Amino acid sequence: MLLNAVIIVLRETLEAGILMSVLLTISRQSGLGQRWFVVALAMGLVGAGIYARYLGEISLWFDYAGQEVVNAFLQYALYICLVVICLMNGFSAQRASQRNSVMMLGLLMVSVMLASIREGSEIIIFFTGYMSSGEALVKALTSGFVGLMIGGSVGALCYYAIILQKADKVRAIQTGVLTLVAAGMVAQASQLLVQVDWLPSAAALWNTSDYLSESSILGQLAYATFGYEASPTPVEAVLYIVSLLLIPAIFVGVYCYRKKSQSEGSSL
Amino acid sequence: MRSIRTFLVIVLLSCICLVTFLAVLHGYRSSLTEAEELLERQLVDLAQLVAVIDSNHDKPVLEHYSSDIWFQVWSAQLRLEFRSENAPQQRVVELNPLAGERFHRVSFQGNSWRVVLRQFNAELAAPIWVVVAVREDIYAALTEGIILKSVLPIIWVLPLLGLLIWGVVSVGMHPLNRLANLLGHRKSDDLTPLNREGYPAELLVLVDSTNDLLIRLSEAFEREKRFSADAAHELRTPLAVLKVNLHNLAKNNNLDEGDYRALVSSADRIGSSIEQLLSLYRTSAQERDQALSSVDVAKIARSIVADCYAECLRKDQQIELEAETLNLVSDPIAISTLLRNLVDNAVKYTPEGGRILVTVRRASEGAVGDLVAGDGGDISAGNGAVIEGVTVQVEDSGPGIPEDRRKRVFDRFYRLGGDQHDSTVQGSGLGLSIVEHIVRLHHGGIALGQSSALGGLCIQVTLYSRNGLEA
Repeated sequence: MLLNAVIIVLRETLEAGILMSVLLTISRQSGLGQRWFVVALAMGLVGAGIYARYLGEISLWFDYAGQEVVNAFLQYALYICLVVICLMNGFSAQRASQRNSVMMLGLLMVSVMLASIREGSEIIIFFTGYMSSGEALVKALTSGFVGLMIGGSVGALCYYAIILQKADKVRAIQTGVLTLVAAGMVAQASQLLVQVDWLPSAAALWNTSDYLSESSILGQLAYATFGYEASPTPVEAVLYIVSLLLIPAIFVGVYCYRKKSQSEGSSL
Repeated sequence: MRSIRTFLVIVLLSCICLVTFLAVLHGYRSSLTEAEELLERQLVDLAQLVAVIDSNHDKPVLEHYSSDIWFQVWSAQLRLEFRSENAPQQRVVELNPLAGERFHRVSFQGNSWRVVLRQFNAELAAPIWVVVAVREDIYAALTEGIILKSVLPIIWVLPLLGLLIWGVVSVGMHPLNRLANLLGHRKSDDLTPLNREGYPAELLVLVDSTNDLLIRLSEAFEREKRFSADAAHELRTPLAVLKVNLHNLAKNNNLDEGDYRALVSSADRIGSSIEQLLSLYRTSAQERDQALSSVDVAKIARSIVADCYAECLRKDQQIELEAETLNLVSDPIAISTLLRNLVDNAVKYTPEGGRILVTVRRASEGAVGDLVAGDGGDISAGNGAVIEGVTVQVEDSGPGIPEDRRKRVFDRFYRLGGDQHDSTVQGSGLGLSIVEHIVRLHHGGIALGQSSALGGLCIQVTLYSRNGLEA
């Protein structure tokens, strides 16, 4: 068994599993069913295959920084989708309409596709390296299956853990988990851009790998859920904090604006 | 949660997978540590063996040695004294006691080697250093192969485990399915308590609550039945006496003719209400078990039309009957009550000189689905079985019923326009309620509409043989 294969597949499927389980609970709550999920997942996996197939050419873009830049773009795009989904989900109780439902469905599908392309391509690229050797491929696939099952199981348990909550708590949990996952996307994208010098690299602000190693199971879980990095650079830390606070800030802003409007309306 | 079974199977499998595979990962790491310790012990043993061979060997190179392992023997003066033929001729690790405390990893001939270093004869004048190395990929493949063999059965057994969990959950849910099936297939009038035998403790609470509800429902029906019967019976006798007394008063000229007619009309209206209440009681769900027989609907229709003929003549109305002989397994009193109510209503609310058309024909296929019941409810024939049915249609040239009030006319005691009904005819507001009730007993349907032939109300009722539905 190859520990590397387990770690790589686990990291990708854990992240995708948690994200997709939350998106499925939102879909369920919005009455959008689950058929779209199968379609989006299938399209995403096809997209991942195509992306992996042309990765050699893509890597040559932007002075050999193509893979990192495109991956970071996918992560940022996913972050934007998740922010909009979070806000629509938060305010949908007040504004449920046919138009919003169609928009939400579109965003959910795009998010699942982007996540599948991003995570799926990593896994495909990894396993392509083992295709030449039959014995090694069996080991890699077995290890990959272990990682897949752990990630899938966490996703399934996460889904049921959310839908079994009381209705008034569900939205708060969805928003909380999505905010963390979305900020994690930004953290990962920033790491990629630092690697190819698109963002300035500098000395790490801190190093917590002694307490929680990124390669440990718990470290992988933390990386998958909120983009944990043991030694972030200042730019990564700032981007992460901003992306983490953006969703709560919008909620607080809208709440304050409404309260102010109400008090002005009542005083007139 | 849409399905308890799916929820249980997915959650149980996920928990098992998560715990098992995390344990596998933990076991994998522990096994690797154990294997490394074992390898180190073996390499140290091998080094010792090499030291012994070195003292008894006069050639500097040992030929035909394993390709996966090599060794070197260095003198204290750092001279290569003895080596296997596949070993490098230069030092690959620093020869000092500190370096000998741990594993080393070196690259040689394109392979990665795990190297261990030990000093022997340190207490003697000629100490030696023995370096032993093993090819890492072969060692890793060996350990990974062993661990893989222990993991693969867990993976193969997962689908079996899933099936097993599915089966166990299905067995566990059997009592719940049985209860759901029992309640789902219960007849609407069956209010007998459920049998408590064979249900687990968790479901007994539900069974007991359902039984409690059924008992209370049964008691409520009983009270309603008793009230209707008692009220009708208790009111009918004094009403008959009242009418006799009124007649006597009129006969003795103690009552004005106009007052007499008004009083008799009121008494008749009360009498009509009582009769209708009795009809409702007779056709209630509680009376369904009475003997059913083959009823000739056309014959009953002819009899009803004949009874109404005198009233039609008085109002100069033209009444027609188009009926084919059709038998329906039902209660003749119920069919008679239904037809009487429909025809009476038509006669009552059709103005003088109007027309009434009564049609009795075989129910066409899909007739039930096309109809609109009073509550839009129990009109489906259900399992699609071929059921003998009859459609009764009564049309008139009267004013009809506005579309927005058609549903309300089935409510008990509801009269179009209230007590100030335009037609000034007497009625209790129970007629169509009774009709709807009888139709429901026959799992049929009612449609109210405008008659295309006569312009007034067209009421179409479809009835099905009761034995066919209850089989």
